[in-house]
Amino acid sequence: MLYEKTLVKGHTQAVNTEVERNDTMFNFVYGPSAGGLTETVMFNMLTTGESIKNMSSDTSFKMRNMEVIGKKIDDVIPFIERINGPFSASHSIAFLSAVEDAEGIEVDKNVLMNRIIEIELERIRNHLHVTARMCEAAAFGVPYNSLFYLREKVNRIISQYAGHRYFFGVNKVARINSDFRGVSKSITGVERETRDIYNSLLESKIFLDRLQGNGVVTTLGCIGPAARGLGLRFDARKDSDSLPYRKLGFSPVVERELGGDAMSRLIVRFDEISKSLELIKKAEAELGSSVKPNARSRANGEGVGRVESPSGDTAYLVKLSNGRLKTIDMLSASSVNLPVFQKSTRNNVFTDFHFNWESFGIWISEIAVRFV
Amino acid sequence: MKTNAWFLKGLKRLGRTEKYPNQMSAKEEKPEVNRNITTKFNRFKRSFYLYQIDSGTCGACNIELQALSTPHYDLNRFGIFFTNSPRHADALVIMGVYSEKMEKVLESAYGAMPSPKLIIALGGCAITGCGIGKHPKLSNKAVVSIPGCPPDPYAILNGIIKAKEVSSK
Repeated sequence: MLYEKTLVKGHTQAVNTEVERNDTMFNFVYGPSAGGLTETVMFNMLTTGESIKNMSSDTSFKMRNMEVIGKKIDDVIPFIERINGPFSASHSIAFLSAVEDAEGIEVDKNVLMNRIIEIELERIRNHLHVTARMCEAAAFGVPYNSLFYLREKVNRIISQYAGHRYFFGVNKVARINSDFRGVSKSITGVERETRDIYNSLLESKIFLDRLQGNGVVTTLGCIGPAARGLGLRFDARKDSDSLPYRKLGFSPVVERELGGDAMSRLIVRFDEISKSLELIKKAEAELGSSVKPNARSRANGEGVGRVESPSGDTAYLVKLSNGRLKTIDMLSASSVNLPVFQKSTRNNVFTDFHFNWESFGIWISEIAVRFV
Repeated sequence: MKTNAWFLKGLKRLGRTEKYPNQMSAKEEKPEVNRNITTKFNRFKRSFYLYQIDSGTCGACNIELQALSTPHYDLNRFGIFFTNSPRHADALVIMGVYSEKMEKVLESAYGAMPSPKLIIALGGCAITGCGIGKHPKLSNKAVVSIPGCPPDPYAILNGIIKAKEVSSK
């Protein structure tokens, strides 16, 4: 139903047999615990020494079981927030949109606008994180530190408005515990400085050489910035009704000319930071004076919620029974983009691996999770 | 010309590191020191190398720990560094809940570390399981536990410094 793909259950993808193994090739295992990786994941590369001929990944090392089935919705939210901390707002809002759809609740406009601001703040923070990690892979100290400085600044702004650096405890059914009025002023300086770093990075031929032609995506099976870097207009903000982005005149950032490499994903991310600021300003202008409380209308039903997380679509399909969670299915951006990333590494050299990996913004924590 | 511009930008941003511990707020979670274990150590007076393992996190603890090497916090000024190999590590930082496959990885990494060595449990998941699961078995040996979900970078910095100082006595 959701892209015909729900939670990844197997987690171990076999090495593709399309590539014929010969005597010059050997398997190089990277992970599960290695210095260059933020999270636990194991990559098994078939290589001739420098060039990667094929790759598989095992994401099951940090598998977590979330005991949510049969629980009340308010008790489930803390678990959903902790599926992936950096995308906590996206996950909790997608889940709550599904619950509200199932319960038939009409959510107040103020709440929806505040939710848009939350997700856009999360996007700015994540894009700063991803681009900083790419600079780290190139050992570019000044932009790396500057971008991480800005990421920390955004984290503190979020903490100031939401009371938590990762939006834990902020979102509830049909309501929100924070008010983001005035946040655009705080974030404007961050955007200006990011633009300055971006322009400087584009002047560095050394940096561009590592990105151009690296990790070229040729398949249509990707979502998020990876798809938009390929020139595809895939964006849940445009396609989904869970949040009123269309009222804000949203149109996605699409990079048509660069052909889906790590460079195109970087450019999309930088442009999306400006776009997010624009959306925050518009959403802030739409905020009214008071938030109307909503009562729950029915305790049974099925609903879908879909939002655009910083790395792509995040969607939930839930069934409720007597106000409790009966079944839940999740589609995460990382589970869709991981196989695409694996294909894109073919014939790349290992030294370019990190640029490509970071450019996708994949989080293993939203893949290695099971609902029980 | 362009190199100069980069250099000047770097200089402009030199003053971004904050003073420690002035930024620690009173409400910050304080690290819990296990006095029974700490008395065994007395070797980490100068440099202190950390190896981190994610046993089953949501990713937030990973980012907050990583933030320590950024300009606001600058972990290196305290003689504390991250290392990419357990062979060079003085302390193992465990994050996340128990997962069966990672338990073996944790034990292997701890076994590969040279003595004296210690364990730091970072975040609610590594200390109690945080309601999501059980905590990793190796967390029982933690010298310092840093609570929070996720702990603030200053709370983490405070905990690591505490681990270094206590183990130096």
